[in-house]
Amino acid sequence: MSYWPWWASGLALAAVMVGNWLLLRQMMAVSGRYTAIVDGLRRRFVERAHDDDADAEMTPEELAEAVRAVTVQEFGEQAIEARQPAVPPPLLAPRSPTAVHTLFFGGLLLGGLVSSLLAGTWAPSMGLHGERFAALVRHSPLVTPLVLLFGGMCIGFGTRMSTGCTSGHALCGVSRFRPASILATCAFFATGVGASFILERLL
Amino acid sequence: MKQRAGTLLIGLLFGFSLSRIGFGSWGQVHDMFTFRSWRLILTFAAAIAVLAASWAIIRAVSNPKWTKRKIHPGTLIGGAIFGVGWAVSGACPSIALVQLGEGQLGAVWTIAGLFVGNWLYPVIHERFFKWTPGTCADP
Repeated sequence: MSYWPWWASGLALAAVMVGNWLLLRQMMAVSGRYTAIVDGLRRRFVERAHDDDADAEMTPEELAEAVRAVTVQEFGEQAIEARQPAVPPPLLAPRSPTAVHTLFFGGLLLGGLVSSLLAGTWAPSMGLHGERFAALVRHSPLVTPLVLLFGGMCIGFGTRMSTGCTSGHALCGVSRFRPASILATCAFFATGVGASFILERLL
Repeated sequence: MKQRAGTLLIGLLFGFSLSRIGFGSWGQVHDMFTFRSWRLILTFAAAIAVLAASWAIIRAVSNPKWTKRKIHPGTLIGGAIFGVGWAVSGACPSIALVQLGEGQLGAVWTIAGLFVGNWLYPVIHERFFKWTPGTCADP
């Protein structure tokens, strides 16, 4: 596949981010979607299994509703109205059902599929494409999963810890001059460079 | 319905673009991190410049409610851990799925690792860390 030049690539990324805002009123935040799916699963399978008493069976929505009812009873309707912002704030990552996040992931996968099929470069590989990755994992079908699992765990753990990834921090965060995003982006770019120079010796 | 169709469309366009940019290629990402090629670095720079201008226009014509993510120790440490993962697997959270679509089936392991790492973080955070993390989904 011949890749797009840098200016077309940059424009395309920006167009997708802005389109996402205009169409859905949300910022691109892909790691947040993983978090939403994981927490959805955790709520469904882990916490339900531990909590047997009726109170704990409340979903966050039910709890919010119960708190609201008590507040109204105690302080009247205006207590609620005073706390409601005129326009509900948009979310960095949508608090939408797991199905929507899964749909987004399906879109990403389909995008990669369509792109490589149209370019005629689609080819199944048990690892990743390219000689250098194969050299990194010593052409071994056993090393491949270990290396990628380790890498994936670093990504999942790190992005949740720093509350954002390339889309939320590097693209949408830095372009809005947010200190937290600039700090996180410097951190992951620096260690990416460091780790890559170390990996270079293994190729 | 609009949200579902829109989300799928944005995901599709994003995935297609990432694939054509070459972000799904381990070699391209490695060349970016070792400064052998400046194409992806310039891609980021161009995207951020266009985005900064776009947000300025959006702010001028409307009043978007964007709230801030706080800086806490995890911002730096988590970012640093993510960078190592990116260099090793050639993937960030979106890229792993694009790679899978391109037939790079090893990305299944990356995605599995991503879910495990994401699952583990709050468990470890609760036991060892004292700061308020916020979430990627914070408004």
